[in-house]
Amino acid sequence: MNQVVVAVENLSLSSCWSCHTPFDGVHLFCPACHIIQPTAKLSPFSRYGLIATYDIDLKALEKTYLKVQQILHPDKFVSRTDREKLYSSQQTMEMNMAYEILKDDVKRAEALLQEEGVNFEEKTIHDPHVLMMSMEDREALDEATETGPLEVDAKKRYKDTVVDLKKVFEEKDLEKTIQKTLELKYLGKFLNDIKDKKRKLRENVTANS
Amino acid sequence: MLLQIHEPGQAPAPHQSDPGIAIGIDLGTTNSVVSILKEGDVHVISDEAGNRLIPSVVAYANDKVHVGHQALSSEGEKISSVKRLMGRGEGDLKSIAGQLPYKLASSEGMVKLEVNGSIKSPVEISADILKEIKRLSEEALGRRVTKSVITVPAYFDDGARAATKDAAKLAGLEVLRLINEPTAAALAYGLDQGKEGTYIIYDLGGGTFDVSILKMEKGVFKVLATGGDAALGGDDFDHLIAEKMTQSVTNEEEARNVLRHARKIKEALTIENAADGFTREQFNTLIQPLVKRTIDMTHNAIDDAGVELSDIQGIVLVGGSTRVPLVKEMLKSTFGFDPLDDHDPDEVVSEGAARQAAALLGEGDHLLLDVLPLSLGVETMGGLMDRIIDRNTSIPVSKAKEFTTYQDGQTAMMFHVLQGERETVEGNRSLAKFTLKDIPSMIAGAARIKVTFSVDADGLLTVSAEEQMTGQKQDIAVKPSYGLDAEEITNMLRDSMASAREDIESRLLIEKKVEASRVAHAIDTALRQDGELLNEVELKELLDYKDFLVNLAEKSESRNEIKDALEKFEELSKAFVEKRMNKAVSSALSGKDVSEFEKKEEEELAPCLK
Repeated sequence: MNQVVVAVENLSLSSCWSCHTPFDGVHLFCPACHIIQPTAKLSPFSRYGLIATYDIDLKALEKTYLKVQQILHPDKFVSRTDREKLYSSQQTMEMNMAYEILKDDVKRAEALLQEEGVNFEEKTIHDPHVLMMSMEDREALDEATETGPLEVDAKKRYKDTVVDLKKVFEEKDLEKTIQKTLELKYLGKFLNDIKDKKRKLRENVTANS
Repeated sequence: MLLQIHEPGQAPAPHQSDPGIAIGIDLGTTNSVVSILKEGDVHVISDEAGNRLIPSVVAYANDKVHVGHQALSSEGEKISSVKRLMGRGEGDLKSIAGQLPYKLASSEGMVKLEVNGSIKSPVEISADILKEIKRLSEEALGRRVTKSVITVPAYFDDGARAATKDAAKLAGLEVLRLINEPTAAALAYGLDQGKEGTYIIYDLGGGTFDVSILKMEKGVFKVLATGGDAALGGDDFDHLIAEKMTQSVTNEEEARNVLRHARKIKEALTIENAADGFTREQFNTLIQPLVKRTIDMTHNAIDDAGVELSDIQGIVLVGGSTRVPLVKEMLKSTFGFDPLDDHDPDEVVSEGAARQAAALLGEGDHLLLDVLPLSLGVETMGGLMDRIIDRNTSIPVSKAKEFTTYQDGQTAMMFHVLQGERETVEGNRSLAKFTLKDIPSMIAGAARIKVTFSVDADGLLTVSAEEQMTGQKQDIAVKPSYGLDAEEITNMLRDSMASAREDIESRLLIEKKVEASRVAHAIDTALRQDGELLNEVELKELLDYKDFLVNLAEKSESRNEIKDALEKFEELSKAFVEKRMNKAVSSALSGKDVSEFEKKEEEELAPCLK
């Protein structure tokens, strides 16, 4: 139970800080004395025992996340030593951060591309079709008096783009993957803008009533 | 730090030794409730007279401190609603100062109150309430109580959380965990009734509104999003009634009586259709816009949680103000189901706290996963807030971001830690300021300063900054400027034991003098930066008055004289302050005009985005 998450790579030899028993690989808890161990430097995927691919099972990921929380969360270490409390907190932080990346369709893509050495700061959307679409979106949002239809449409496009992205990741076409990731990032941002607009419309109705 | 070293397999299991007991405390604005879990059932601890709600009121009479119902009937000076001041700086209170039923004492940083001739911080007053709660619990349980779980509004910022923990420490209570009030309520319902699915927790108290969207699944309670308004509650309903009452008010005492009367009417209208010339319909019309606002915020929270309305299984009601019929009606008509209200809304939060307290000591295997209620970040050049951790991120969490220098050869960087959702610094809460020194001299933009924000499971923040290029590490942990440092707490503990009386008046005078010189210095700096916004006459007037203030700060022996001068000065500088604000906002928005910042001293430069 305590070893649900064991990274497959990184088979360095280390030992338990408490009982000094040496062990292989990365463990959350010492295999001998079951004491919590300090965090190791791992990719978000390795941290959850996953192979680094874009198409992951998000339902299974959530299950693992909750299981991990149940054994690592600081609430489970209230009566333990300060050092164990510290490790529990740090381990939970790492797991939370990794989960945030893995469950997010855009961040997960960016993490994979970063491992390929892609610097996202320098990348911009080239596809004229996407650029045109974003201008039309902007106009439609500015003029909208209700956000429902826009939201439905944007959500569908988002979903479709995730499917496309899975495909280009599989085909290992780096340039296409970068472009699709940027497109998805744009759609994510647009969905957020829709949410903000929805909020504003709601508040205006209240103010005028 | 002394570490415990254990032989293999010999480490103490969490429940091996007697972990003791821990109480759950709902430290409310109006009332507090304390509970304990015994053999699976939650028991509310009542006071000597059998009251389960302990009014959060403290009365200070000469040497005696009374809390709760005893305080209400005491002759001493009464302090209520101190929770609203937790973690607040003096600046935060300018806007509401007139409405507060107590005298504020001037002080740097955290706000202080003048009570019966002595000066008390909100932390000390809260500690007095907690001491009484501890005493009542010990008497009821017949054993020492040192551990607790205390609830705070989800919307409490870092300063208010730290202040609450400090108060507990001062009262001799260890806080196993601070948990959010709506989460505690959900825990009470979820564990008691085995609820599963996604729920809205709607918490309308006396002074605050909190809403959380929570997913309960197989013993895990995960907060998906929180929202709310720290200044909206049932007290506002009282105010609306009071405004409609024809009675004219000439002094504070009368105002308080009118409010008390209004409150009685509100409570009567919960059960009856008319009271004292008010009908429930009239009352509903008055409060409808406020209730609508809470429902808007509930919709916003649902959006933030990334769930659809159809995913919601129910609404849990928390807080005394949810007794108002219109609240239930509007929730039902909006969301389509009857809200869950079979737990006493006044006790449900404390009940959840007691359950969590027991769980933390190893009884029960549920788990609470909470989120950061408000975004955290730092001020960057141009007076903007750069977010480092977004709101609704699961805690504990740690995130880092790199910044760089603004000027060639800059060797120090000022970090202003902020909490809130606004783009500009002004709209957000200032938590702390610190300076990273000894940055190697480089050209602008070359240094790499990594700033790390860590939020622990209580929702408390520590910040560190580190220069990356040279590998030279320099960590600075900051505590919120409105919290208390360890030394202050030790001093308070000592002061409270040695009943040495200070000369209050001379202390107040010194504090006023400090304030005057601070104001003079501030205006000096402001005029140097933005003096060109004024014409010659205006400029001279302000400069002259500044000299006058400096003189007062050095020589005056009258607190009132300084106070009047400060008030007059505030009036005089109003126009200038407005002009500056406009300028700051427009330059922040354009993001280009940085000339004004060049005049800043090198040591004071804020970080730049890389």
